[in-house]
Amino acid sequence: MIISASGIGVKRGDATILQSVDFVARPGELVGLIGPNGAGKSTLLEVIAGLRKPELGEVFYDGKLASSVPRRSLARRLAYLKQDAAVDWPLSVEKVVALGRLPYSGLFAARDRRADDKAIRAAMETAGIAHFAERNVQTLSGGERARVLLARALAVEAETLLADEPVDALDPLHQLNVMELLRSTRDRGTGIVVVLHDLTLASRFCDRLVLLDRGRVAAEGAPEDVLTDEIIAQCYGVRALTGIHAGGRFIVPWQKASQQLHDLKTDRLVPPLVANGHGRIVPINAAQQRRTLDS
Amino acid sequence: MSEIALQATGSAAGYRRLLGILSLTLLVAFVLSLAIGYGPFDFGAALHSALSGKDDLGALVFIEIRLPRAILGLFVGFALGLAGAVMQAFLRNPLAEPGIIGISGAAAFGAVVIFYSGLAAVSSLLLPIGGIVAALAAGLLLFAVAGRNANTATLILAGIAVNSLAGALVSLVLNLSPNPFAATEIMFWLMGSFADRSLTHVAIALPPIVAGCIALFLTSRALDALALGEDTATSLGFDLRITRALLVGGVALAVGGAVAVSGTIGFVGLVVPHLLRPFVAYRPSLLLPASALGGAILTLSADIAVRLLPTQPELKLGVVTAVIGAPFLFSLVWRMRGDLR
Repeated sequence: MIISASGIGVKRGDATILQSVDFVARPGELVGLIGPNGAGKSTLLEVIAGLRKPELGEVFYDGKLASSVPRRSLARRLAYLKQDAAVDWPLSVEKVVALGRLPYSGLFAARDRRADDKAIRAAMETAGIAHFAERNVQTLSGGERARVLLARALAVEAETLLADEPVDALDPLHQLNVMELLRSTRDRGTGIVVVLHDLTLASRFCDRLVLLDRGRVAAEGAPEDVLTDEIIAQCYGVRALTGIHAGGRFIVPWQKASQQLHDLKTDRLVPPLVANGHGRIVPINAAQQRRTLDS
Repeated sequence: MSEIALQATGSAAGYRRLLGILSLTLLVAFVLSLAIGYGPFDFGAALHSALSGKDDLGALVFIEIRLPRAILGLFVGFALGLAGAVMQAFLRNPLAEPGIIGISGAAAFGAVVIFYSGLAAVSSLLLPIGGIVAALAAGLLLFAVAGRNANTATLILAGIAVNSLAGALVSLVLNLSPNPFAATEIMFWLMGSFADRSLTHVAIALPPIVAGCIALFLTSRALDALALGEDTATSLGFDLRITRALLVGGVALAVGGAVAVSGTIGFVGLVVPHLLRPFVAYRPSLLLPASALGGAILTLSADIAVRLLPTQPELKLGVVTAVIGAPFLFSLVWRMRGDLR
């Protein structure tokens, strides 16, 4: 499903949350939605999920006006994973994941038990939570619960997955697990929009980045075009150590943009960094840079 | 032992067994409610003559006294148990209950106004209508005051406000009462009872209760989805405006209809869902039928108990449920006190 939004404007009281935002999400594409706090990332995700009606602009699903697409049919095609959602009852993990199948049942519609069970099992396997399927979801750690809720969204088997900061509460290993999981879901043709704060993860895993700043799209495109030193300094107000390792870029926010990047010991300006292939990060010089980029 | 097994699996078979056990218990309670009462009474003979259309004393007692009492106990308890389970699931709050948040109180006020104004004499149908309209107003007021994403504290505070408003209005009516006998009559009625109700009461209460319960059952799938919060429930295809309308309308019809004939019988909707929740693996949709049956069982049993207790005059049912339910509320608050925000 192609989701497109044009000229989106959202207000909350007097504050403008989003202003003239255009956005497209396509099948088989992993789009990262990034930006500083309060930039409007979650709001934009809610708008394209059809959960919030924008004051201005329209959202289209496969070219059809969002308001003309029935909620129920949209629910099978679009899964939404809310940021740090809680589960209000001590349900078992499996029952929580099974809630992802609700769009496929109805008051008068018989449900396809076999398809449901298959989807639930597959989602739990993918998220690596099958071994604690019977546990009470309220007793899980933050990371475990995040994966359960992700599995719940995967169980919808929707063409599009919108995930709001799914790696927020996770340790580094589980962050990588979830990002790899999103990438493999993308490889199966699902269109994914994911809100991220970690710029390295955004740069490494996303096909395209949309950077929001104060309710507007500040930059959009391939990660290396969006996450330039100038744009990072301008939007986030930080300077980052950046470099390349094994073909992937890392971006480590280091200090406020008002300060120069200094070597703390020698007080000299630090040039761009690159990993030297042994897990160490060294200053880049022209020759090294060429070699690294060539290889 | 079987209960522990049920709790552990929460399987479809276990759930069917739970509903089976509850239905059987309800049947037993219903028959006992018909059989137990004051004075000598041959249940078998009365049932026989009632069924064969005879007009003797036994049949009269059966049809005019026992049957209405048992039917009302069943349906009112069913409605209260169901309404409590639905409200708790919708608000994701184990303290939500029509009595605690003022809906029963408002319904009682509506019915009292109809009583007091003499409209009840014009048409007995006006009694449930008064209860339903007031309950509906209370429900809407509650949502308006507490807002959509009410947390526990806000909701309870809004409920206290609604409850005190209803209480104040009832007091006003009592205060304006022209003679002490009318006031006493209203007071006793407010305490809640099924004693001395007729088949007319059954006829006026049943339609709104049944309609309300149907509306409440229609929310069950959305209630499951709401375990993940409102946004996720919406993304799963549920229009929560419809769910909210079914909830407010259903509770108003069911509770308003019930209170209009029985007075306020509190805490059934608080205690029953809470006790049964572990046996349905905490799934809101599964809790609805179980809690409805459980509410009917509890109400019928309590109504049997007041007839067996050697007190004079007979204890009012609402008094008994309150005396049992209020400490239960204490224990719930005690356990939740860390979570109240």
